[in-house]
Amino acid sequence: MAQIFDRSSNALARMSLVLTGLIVIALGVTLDQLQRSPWVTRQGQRADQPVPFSHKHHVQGLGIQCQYCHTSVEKSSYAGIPPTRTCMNCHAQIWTNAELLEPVRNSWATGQSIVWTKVHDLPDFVYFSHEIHVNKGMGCSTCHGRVDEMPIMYQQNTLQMEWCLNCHRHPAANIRPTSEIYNMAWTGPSELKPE
Amino acid sequence: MATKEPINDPMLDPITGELRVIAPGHTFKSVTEKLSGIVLTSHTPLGWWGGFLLAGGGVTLLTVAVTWLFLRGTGIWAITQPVAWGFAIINFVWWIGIGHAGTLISAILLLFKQSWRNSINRFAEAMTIFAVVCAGMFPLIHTGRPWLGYWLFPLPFTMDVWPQFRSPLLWDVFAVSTYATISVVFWYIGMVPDLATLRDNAKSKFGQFFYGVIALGWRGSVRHWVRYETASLLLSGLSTPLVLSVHTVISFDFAVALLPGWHTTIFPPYFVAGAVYSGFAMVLTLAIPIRKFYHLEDIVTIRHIDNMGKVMLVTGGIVAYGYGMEVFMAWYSASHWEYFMMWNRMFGPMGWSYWVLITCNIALPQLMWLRKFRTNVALMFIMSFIVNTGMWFERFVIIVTSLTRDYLPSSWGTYNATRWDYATFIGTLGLFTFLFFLFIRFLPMIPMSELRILLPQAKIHPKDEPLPEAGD
Repeated sequence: MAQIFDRSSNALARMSLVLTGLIVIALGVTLDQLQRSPWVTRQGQRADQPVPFSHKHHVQGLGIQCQYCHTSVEKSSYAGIPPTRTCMNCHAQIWTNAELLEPVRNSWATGQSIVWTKVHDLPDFVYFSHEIHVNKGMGCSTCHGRVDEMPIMYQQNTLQMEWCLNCHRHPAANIRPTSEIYNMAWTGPSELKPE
Repeated sequence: MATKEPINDPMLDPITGELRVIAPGHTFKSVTEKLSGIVLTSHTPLGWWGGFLLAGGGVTLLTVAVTWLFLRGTGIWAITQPVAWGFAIINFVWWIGIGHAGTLISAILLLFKQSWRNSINRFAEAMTIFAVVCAGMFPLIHTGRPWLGYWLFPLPFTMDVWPQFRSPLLWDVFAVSTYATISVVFWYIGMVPDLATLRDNAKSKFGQFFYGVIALGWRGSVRHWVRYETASLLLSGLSTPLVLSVHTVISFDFAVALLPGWHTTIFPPYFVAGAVYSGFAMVLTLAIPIRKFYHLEDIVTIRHIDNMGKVMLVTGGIVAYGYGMEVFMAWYSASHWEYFMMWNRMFGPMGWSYWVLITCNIALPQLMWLRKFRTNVALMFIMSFIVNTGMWFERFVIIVTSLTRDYLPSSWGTYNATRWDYATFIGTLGLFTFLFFLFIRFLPMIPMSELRILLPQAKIHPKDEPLPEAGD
């Protein structure tokens, strides 16, 4: 009677062990990517906005300070998105015919809010407060990245719990003088980041 | 009582007068042919199909019940405040308990060198695994958000949050998953020589290939056997503390709480004894119809049923002691709450369940003291159902009656199971039977290699002595 398995089965049997190891590794990598890859965390993704608002132009180009638009950042848990009125402060007279700004003028005329897409969208079971962070020496750029260099807003950090906890366990590395909060380019010395 | 008359019953050993482990007249070949024939036949018995379809209906019911549960939430069950643990936990503990006899038979009896285990250990182990499958479902589905069940595992998630290692419910996760893994490994390793037998006897190409792959190239050399025996013994040594600790951990779910009726130090050993008690009852429930249907009376003999009856009698005695101690302690503690708990159990609105429990678990099983009863297959079959019912009610009494009425009378409640509670329970019975039917059709349900060892031909005799006729 012929053998059930010919010689090549030996190699296959050994390979199956290697394959099991590879499957385990692949599974581990997949599970890690499923919770940490930018595809999941939305880091660096530029969402579609009704108006392609450029922070780069307004902050770096024009030198407007953060609180001019995000007025409540020091006083409220919510930093605030400026109302149409803030846009119209200037754009009532600048670029009045630009097609790009049509939704803004339309909002001004009709009273309908502009539907901005939230980029930093925490789940509602997280109660984040901007006020306490800004007043205790956390600068904008630590969490939001170099917004002054972003033509279109995107999320710099993961906003995942481990990221929050890393800083809350070792805050010193990121604390800056309160005079430097709105300095986007600040990379000052600290105990953990000596000059 | 030794009788002087010559013994004519072939099931009795003429020398010792004891019941035989397996009937005389078997050879290596007859054992192999009989048992591998069940698997390798191309003719699937009609009875098998009937049972399989019936069990398939149960699986369908389970699927429907669980799907509806996931869509609508645990509110479709009767659980509410104050009884937040109902059928799901009762069934969980019941199924896990049933699984334990399988490990007892395969591991503890191996450590004690009880050769009568050889005829029944394989399907007892299969029973363990399928019971653990049914049990393992409940901790997952009884949570309100089962899709987050993976949070119970200590893995590096982005939340930087780890499970609470002080909760017995977390220990359950480790206990049950370890138990399931070790049971499967033990079962599989034990099956390898038999799978090789099936491979060698298979006629079809597919059969040869299928059993050939899962037999892992077993050739039965002395080296193989030495290592096999060592591994089996090691696994038995590991499984024995495991089986004790697993049900202990499950008893901690209750004993660690502060509830009167739960907060008791006797729970760990008394739960384990109860597990073995109900497990052996389930082995009987399975073994008796199988031996009848497949004509295995000469392999799973009266001796086995008799011995299982004895084990049930012992563990039932321990359980009875547990009930007695609970009652005694309720009085001796001088705790108003404990006293009321026991009164409520016996004479409260759910008192009937306590008396069902006492009848099924303590009163009726005393009949098993009689050898006449233990060797009567039909009566033992009925008894196995009685004990399994009783053990289900034991968990019902412990969980539900303790919860309905505890410290604050303003928080007293009741518990009326809904149709979904019943559907889930009946569904798991279906799933268990479904898997068991697949097992008896496709895998060797009785270890041929271990039966061959029991035959007189397997023993080495001095040359001038005649070959003993008996197999034990």
